[in-house]
Amino acid sequence: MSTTHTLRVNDRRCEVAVDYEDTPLLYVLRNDLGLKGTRFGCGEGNCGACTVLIDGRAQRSCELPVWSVEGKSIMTIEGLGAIDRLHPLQQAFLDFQAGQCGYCLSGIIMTAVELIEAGGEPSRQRIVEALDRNLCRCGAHARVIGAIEAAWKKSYQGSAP
Amino acid sequence: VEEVISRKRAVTEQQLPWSIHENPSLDQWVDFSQHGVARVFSAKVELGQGIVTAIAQIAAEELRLPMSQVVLVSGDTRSCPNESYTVGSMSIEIGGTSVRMACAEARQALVEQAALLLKVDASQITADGGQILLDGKPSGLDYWQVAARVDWKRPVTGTIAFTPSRTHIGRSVARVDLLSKVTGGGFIHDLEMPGMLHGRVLRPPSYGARLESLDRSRAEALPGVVSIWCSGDFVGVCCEREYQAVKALEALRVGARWLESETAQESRSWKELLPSLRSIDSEAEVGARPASAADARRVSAIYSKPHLPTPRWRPRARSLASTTIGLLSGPIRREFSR
Repeated sequence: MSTTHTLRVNDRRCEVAVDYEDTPLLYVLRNDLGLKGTRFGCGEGNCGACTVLIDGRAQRSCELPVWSVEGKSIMTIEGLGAIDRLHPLQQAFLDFQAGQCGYCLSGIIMTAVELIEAGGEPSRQRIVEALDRNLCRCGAHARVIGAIEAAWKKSYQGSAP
Repeated sequence: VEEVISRKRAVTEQQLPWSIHENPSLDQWVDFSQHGVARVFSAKVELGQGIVTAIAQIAAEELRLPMSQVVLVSGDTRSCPNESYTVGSMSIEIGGTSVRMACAEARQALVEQAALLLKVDASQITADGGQILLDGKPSGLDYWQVAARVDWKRPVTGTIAFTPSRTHIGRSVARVDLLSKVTGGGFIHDLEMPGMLHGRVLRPPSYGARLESLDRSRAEALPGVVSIWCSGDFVGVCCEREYQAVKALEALRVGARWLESETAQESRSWKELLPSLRSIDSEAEVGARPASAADARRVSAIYSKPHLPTPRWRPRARSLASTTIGLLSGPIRREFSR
């Protein structure tokens, strides 16, 4: 029943063995690869806390079977930036103090990465739509939107196609 | 009535915050043994409400230190006072006031000790940024040199005047916990212990449902299942790996037969139960005494709140907590040890 899968996570190749082929990517990231920054929220694809980038697209890792992401490029919050080399979005979230308990932030930031990398100015409306499926129970949304707008203006404006 | 009210008011005026009452010694709150920083201890923990930042602001204000020289040690039961839970919107009022009193007391102790060392009157001494000032000018002494001579095992009296300064209080400062949170930093359920198992709990299909029978055979046949626990209506499973527990739980759900009932029955039971329990009278608040007996009016009412089921938590946090017992806040630790 046990299967082995080769993944590419944060530009590193890794091999994992799972008991069930449908093991969601989230469990592999957190428990096998030690990448705890991706959060388990609802486990049902509803809250967005587990969002990671798969080939640049924001997807919920709690409902992605590990077999389905073989050969694809996976990026987690740990691959985006670190305390000593923050991604412009992470810096903007700090500048706007956009978070309270912070449990949703990994997923929200990864969702915002897809949006901001897509090119073109993300209007307030587009940001709201992109984050529609990312829940924040603390209610930090207004600052989150402000942070994403500011990050684009500061680091992407002019360079986007 | 008059006599009772005045007696209670007198007691109230003398009362220190509960946290100080329970942790009366100054060395339980402040430590200057690491050069260049004041370590301040609080049992109030960060839940996203910003309490660690807020208490650090309070401490920095009373100690007349920049925020960068205040290290707030939060919730570590090896070094923090036991302040009970972080609940009820009381963390600033009780925990914050306690830290404020302790830090004011610490500043005063440092000033008095510095006056002794410099052989001057304490009124000539002030402190700013960790430097001891004599008549407003640097004295060559700093907190840490003086701190070594202070007996920190002294009570927090709550009688030292708070600083009138407003360098940190009343200003928005950056949250100290947010950098970690935007870079995927740890929550309690990210802890991993050697030999740790993963558990899942089978939730009843409805509130008040009773477990009629449980067929464990499907779950027992699955990989990694270490134990299945069934007691009354509670069913849980422990596995070597997390997703094994998810799968075992699915198998247990198939094997469980529940007897469901109207929740209304449950509601009746607590209404009958409550009056039969021992009642502890408590005083909520003592206000101002009415000017005359004619102004006094007795208000009598009964308030009740039914049991509120809370949203589920990830089971792992709780099972993990029992293995990291040394780091838990006092009351939770006591509960786990039972």
